[in-house]
Amino acid sequence: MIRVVLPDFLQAHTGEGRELLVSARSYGELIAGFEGQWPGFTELVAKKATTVIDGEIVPDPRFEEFGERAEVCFLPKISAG
Amino acid sequence: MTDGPQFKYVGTRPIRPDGVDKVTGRATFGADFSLPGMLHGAVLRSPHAHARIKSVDVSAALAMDGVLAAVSGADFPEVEDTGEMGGEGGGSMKDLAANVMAREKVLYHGHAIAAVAATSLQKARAALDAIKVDYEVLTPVMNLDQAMAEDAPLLNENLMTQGLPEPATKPSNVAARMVMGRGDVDQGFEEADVIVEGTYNTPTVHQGYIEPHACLATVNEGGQTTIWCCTQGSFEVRLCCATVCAMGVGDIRVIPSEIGGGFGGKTTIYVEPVAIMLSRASGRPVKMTMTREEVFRASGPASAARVTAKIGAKRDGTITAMQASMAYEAGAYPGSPMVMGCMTVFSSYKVPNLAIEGFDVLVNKAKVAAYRAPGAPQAMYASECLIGELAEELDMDPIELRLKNVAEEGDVAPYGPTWGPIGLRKCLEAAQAHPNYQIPLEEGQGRGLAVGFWFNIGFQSSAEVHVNEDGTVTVIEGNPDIGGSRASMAIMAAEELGIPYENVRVQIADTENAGYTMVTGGSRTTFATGMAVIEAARDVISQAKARVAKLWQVDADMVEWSDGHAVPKAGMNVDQEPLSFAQIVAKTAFSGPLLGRASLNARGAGPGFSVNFCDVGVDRRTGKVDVLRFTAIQDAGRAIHPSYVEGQMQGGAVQGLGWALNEEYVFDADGVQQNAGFLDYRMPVASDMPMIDTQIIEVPNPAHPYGVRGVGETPIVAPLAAAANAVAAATGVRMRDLPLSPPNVLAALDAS
Repeated sequence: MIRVVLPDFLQAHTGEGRELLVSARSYGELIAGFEGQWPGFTELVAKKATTVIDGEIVPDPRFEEFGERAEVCFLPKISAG
Repeated sequence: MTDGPQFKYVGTRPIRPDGVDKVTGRATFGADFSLPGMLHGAVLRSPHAHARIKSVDVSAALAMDGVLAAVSGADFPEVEDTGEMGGEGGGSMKDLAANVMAREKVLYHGHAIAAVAATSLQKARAALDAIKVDYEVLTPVMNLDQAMAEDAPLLNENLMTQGLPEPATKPSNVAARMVMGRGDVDQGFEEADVIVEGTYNTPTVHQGYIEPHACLATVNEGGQTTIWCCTQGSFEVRLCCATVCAMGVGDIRVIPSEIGGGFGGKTTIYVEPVAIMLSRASGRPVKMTMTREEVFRASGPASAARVTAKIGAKRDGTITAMQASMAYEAGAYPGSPMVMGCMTVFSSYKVPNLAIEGFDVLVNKAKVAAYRAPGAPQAMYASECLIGELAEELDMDPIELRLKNVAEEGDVAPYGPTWGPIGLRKCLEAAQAHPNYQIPLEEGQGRGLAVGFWFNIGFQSSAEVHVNEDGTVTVIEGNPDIGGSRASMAIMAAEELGIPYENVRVQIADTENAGYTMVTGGSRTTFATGMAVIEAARDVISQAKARVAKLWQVDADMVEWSDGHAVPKAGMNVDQEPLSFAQIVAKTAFSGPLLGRASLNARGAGPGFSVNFCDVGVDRRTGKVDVLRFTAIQDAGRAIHPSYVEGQMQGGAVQGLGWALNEEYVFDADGVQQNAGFLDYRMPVASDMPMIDTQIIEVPNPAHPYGVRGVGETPIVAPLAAAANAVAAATGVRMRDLPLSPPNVLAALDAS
């Protein structure tokens, strides 16, 4: 199972809590599932989120494959100096 | 203190390649460029902090002798709200355009409203007086209380707060709200034996880079534009200017100069599009240099912030709940680093119950810009002071209290991810064992300690490695060198290639001669561009081995690379002498020049933690705080060039101490800054500071070939609370509002 952490704006969009446990073999499958369930999810992620997979900030996660247990955190975009 | 393997060049301290030019004055900075026929630009700035612009008339200025161009907001194209600027966050392109040149309203004292270009700077400045502007003056809002009041004057009548539980029904100065949490914070406080809470205020401060923003722009008859400027990101300047001036990205070439400090403040643009518009209008090159006063009034400072925090703990020190509500000033347009404040405030600790709320608030001050670890110093000033107060309440050593709750590998960070290998425990243990921590204090002195944290980032970088005829190597990359990165790149290239450091030269190329490379910021350069340099070096080696295999008429896998030479693979029956780069280049001209390339989107940036402690003495008669000793300990992952890691730690410490002890923007009731110069805006100078002692901890980042984490931002986070905790220990009085300047300290001591 994949542990997914949602920031407040994605919690508001989905109506879900902070953490979800879902089944997915890849980021593509995960996001397609979410998009089907909550249209607009992908666009919100692209516009407002930084994606962290297994503790690593992944700048473009579209082609990421997951292991049996993975952790996907959508964070608010990080700006820096 | 090092985990992991040792290297030949990584971890050494060679002389920086740009050092000679910088100490002899040969290095060229933003204001050093000139072209034949060049004009000088000057900007008319708003005398009001908040006003509606009824009309702007530049015709009289344009008629003056020597004036060849004049522009105002009406001359700039409309910019659609097309998203965030430059990949760094912190605001929209539409707002960036309005910040560069005001349109309907001026939103802070110093906001650009028109500009002229003339044959001399004197003529340009004189022409500004001839520009006629009709204002409807409005009431400014200058702080969080004013801005968040129910009946506050609005900076933007169309701004609806994002992130409220229910959609906003009326406009507000609060641009956004964010919440974050886990567990049950009420339950956590019920379980606590001790609860501490307080409200902490940090003022507006400036990065204080010595070199003002400066540029030279020239637009030819075909519209092709070249900009020389001091920036942390030439590709961001290109994109931002293209958007603000409605040009194609491919029509702009940005040539970065050396940079006299940036600290985040040069990740955006101010005068560059103005110079383009003036050059376009005049047909001449236009140079623009902000004065120090303009830099203070109209470039982006760091947010003032107010953080109310609460921590509950068991009597043994186990933290049961943490809560914070924080409001950050964004300045004139949305985009304060409130989000980063929320994510960093409690990141150093494992705690089951958390509730964090943040607000991004407009005020009539210049739009804030990034400043090292944006948002984190304000947030962790509050949380680390409160941890200090908790330690006092529990009568525990502040390091022991932190060690009891320290975030470690496998713990879940408050903002979501599970920590990988991180070095906070090692930093705390190093502080505990440090000789400076054992030095006895005298009467009236105090010691304070605090932790700092920053994410660090990766993202897109490119690099090329060119092998020259004599076997030396030129590395081409696109990150302006603001902290010794040329040296770091050269070290990593030398390590990979197995050639002496002195045989590697690093060139910072412009936007037409380097592949796309994101800004020098986010503590990303040594990590991400370093990875690109390593990959490009490996590409060169791979090509060199293939060429030698052809020469030796063997399969490519029979050639190895060792100590700067192609050699026959061990155990292979190949009777050949090792070949150096110079020999390979000479012998394999049949394959053309030897160069390697890499472009990547670096992932796996390693979080950085630090522990700082300082000793202060407080003069109770004057309120002056003297920093007696300061010790900075930080996990660098791997220090490629330890001297420049130490330099970052020392520089961040001094900037953080300035923020803690003296720096602040002072405004009058009309929103006019009263201290827009270095005489009155009191930054620390060398004579104010003791030697900043440093200790580098190395817990390698597994995502980088050498373990680099990034070190540029974490060092500014902890000094604010370390200093404040020290002053509290010295005086017995807890002062929660920065700066702890002599008048403020004296007032607090008198009140106590």
